[in-house]
Amino acid sequence: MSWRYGRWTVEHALPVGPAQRIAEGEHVRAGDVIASGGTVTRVHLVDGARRVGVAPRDLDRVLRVRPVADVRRGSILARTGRRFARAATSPIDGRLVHVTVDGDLCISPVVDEWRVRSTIDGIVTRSDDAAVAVEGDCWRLQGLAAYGPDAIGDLALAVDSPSDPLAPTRLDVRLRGRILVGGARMAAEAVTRAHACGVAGIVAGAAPAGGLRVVYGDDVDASGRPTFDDRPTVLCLLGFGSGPLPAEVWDPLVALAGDRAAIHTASARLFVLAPADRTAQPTTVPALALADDHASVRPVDDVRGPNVLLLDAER
Amino acid sequence: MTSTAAALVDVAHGRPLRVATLAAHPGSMERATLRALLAAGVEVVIAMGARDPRSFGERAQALRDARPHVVVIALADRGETDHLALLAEALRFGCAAQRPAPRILVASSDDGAVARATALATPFAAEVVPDLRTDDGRRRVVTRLRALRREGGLLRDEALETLARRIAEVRRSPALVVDVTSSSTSLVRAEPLVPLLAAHGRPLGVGRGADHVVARAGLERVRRWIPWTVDQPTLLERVFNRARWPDAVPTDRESLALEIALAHEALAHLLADAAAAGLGAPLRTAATILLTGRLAALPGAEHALLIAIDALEPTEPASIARDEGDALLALASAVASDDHAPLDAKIGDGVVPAAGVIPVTTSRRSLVRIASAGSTREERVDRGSFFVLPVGDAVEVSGPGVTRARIACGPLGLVVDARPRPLALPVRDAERVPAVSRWYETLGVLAPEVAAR
Repeated sequence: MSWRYGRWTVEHALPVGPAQRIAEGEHVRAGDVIASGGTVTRVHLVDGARRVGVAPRDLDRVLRVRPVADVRRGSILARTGRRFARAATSPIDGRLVHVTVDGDLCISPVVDEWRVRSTIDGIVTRSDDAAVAVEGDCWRLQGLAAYGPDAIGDLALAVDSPSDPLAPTRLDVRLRGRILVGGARMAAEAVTRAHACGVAGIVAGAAPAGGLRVVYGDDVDASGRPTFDDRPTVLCLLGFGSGPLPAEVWDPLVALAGDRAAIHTASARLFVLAPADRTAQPTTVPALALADDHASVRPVDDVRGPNVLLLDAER
Repeated sequence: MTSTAAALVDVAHGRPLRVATLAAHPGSMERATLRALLAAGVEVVIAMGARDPRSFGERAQALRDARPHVVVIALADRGETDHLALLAEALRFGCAAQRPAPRILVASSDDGAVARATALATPFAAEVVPDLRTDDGRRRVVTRLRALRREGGLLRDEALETLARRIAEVRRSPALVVDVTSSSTSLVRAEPLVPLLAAHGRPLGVGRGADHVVARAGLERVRRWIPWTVDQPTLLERVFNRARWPDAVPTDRESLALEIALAHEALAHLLADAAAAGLGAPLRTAATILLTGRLAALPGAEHALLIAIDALEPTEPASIARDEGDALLALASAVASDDHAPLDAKIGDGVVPAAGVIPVTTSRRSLVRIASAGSTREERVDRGSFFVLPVGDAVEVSGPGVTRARIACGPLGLVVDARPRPLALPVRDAERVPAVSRWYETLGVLAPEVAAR
């Protein structure tokens, strides 16, 4: 079943160099910052262990600052001795991001800051330099591929029927911060206009692959692309080209419109943070058929025939 | 799903294994590493060299995004580890918290290099194998990586290698097995008393790997094999849907043409990788070429034949056969290593050629002599020509620009191919479409009644 209410664990991958992370066991709400840090680019390598005259494995003992701490130019990073002190100092204003095996210290200038926000309400179950995982109860719709950064906002319908394409003319700044349900197809014009209007994300049956290339670059592929930068967020539920939504997918979207929602791009999932009794869980799994020319996907009643799959099939 | 593909025997691909490589210098070590990784059938997700122009942070982020299961560090000597120090630090910075942590394979026969590289790899678990430029080093790294892929039983790669080896032994001549599946492409060449050559490309394929083929080759290179005009956005839609639709089968000529085009490029890129690893030329020559996987499942042998001739560009006369339903491959995966009798018996009567092919290398024209039982005929062959002779039995071919050989033909006849190599397709549709259509028509590919089958 693609729509399901349950307990989900969402792993939020972090870019390299997180400076702050939320602790395990903390309660968070969707949209809360769970980690932040600076973009690490070129680093200045400072002689650490050699400069202060200790073995690399003993450097930790004499470090005055630890990764990941901000330092000023001239700050003492490590120091030994009293009267005849030996010290390693920072050559720039920046951040100590890493200590090498040889006991050298990597100082990175802080060029910009990033933040990662939780996509569901729940408890932090993992927090380390690679990822922060949050576990919580909510509605979940598994999609096929998602592109862009995670998005959080109120769910809103932007089409009248599940077979309508998302029309750019229906998008304006009043939809700022929403996650829009876009019907059978979201063309590149609609995606970019929605982004310009401040729309948080779009969920639709399909997106044209050529349009995805226009928005996300020529090297985009069919498995999705989570990013951290400022780009549109889209979730393709069924395929590429065009994909009218089956009733089992569309009806709960209608029922849940207005509730807080989030698109987690790494897992290609839509989460809706509504109580379990807001709508009924679909009892049947719709079947999908790939068009003969492979250019679109459509729901079908009969599961027999070539290139027919159930919506929840492993793809 | 009711499909031809579903009828194929499913020989295990194993777990996908994502491998990153860190290299100090381009050159012989890089070639040796690529050769070992091609033989192991892993997915190389990132190959980073000491001269990589990215900053420390960008390198670390790239390695984190790649999420490698294994990192291969091949070193010639202790001096190379100094060049690798910053790369290894980027790996530690980017992947130290990865779950599960990547394993490090240090490949070197220099004790000093091994000691330093192992220290640089802290805190990752490191294993040491001999220098990859040696047979022992390659064999051990392939064995190790395949062990990490294995989910139980024989891998498809191993079955293909067994099959190629047995065909070569039974027929006492070189054999090439060409396998294209949804997510992998393989070329395995065996010859009696000669070490086996194998290249297994992942995730290059005509299904799950379709978007990777396009990412590698570019959409235009895939599009050029389709014998009519098709716009790029439409084609990309089909490729993306195909990549997310496991075992989709072509049901009309549009989707069949796409599968043919993807198979062309998947093979072409595997051959390019093999050439970069120093394996290129031998993988184009063999007396028997056996097509398996999706190549054998295409409706009509002529489709597979066209792909084999155009993508492999054989340099010597060959018999081309298909392994219908992957029956031989299934047998190769099932037989015990010391009992090849059932497989050998099946090869004896199961490898039935669909056609023979004679590549003709000529600057102007050539006269090809074709001798069969009791008769000899001579065919004038102009440069660039590509035609089929209705010959159904074994023939001996010779002539200027032709390697003298005895080959078996089949129901599709004997294909004479004097097109210049490498095949150059016109860029403009107005010239490309007629040229490609002519080749398709020569072999009867995408004829309406065949495409509808």
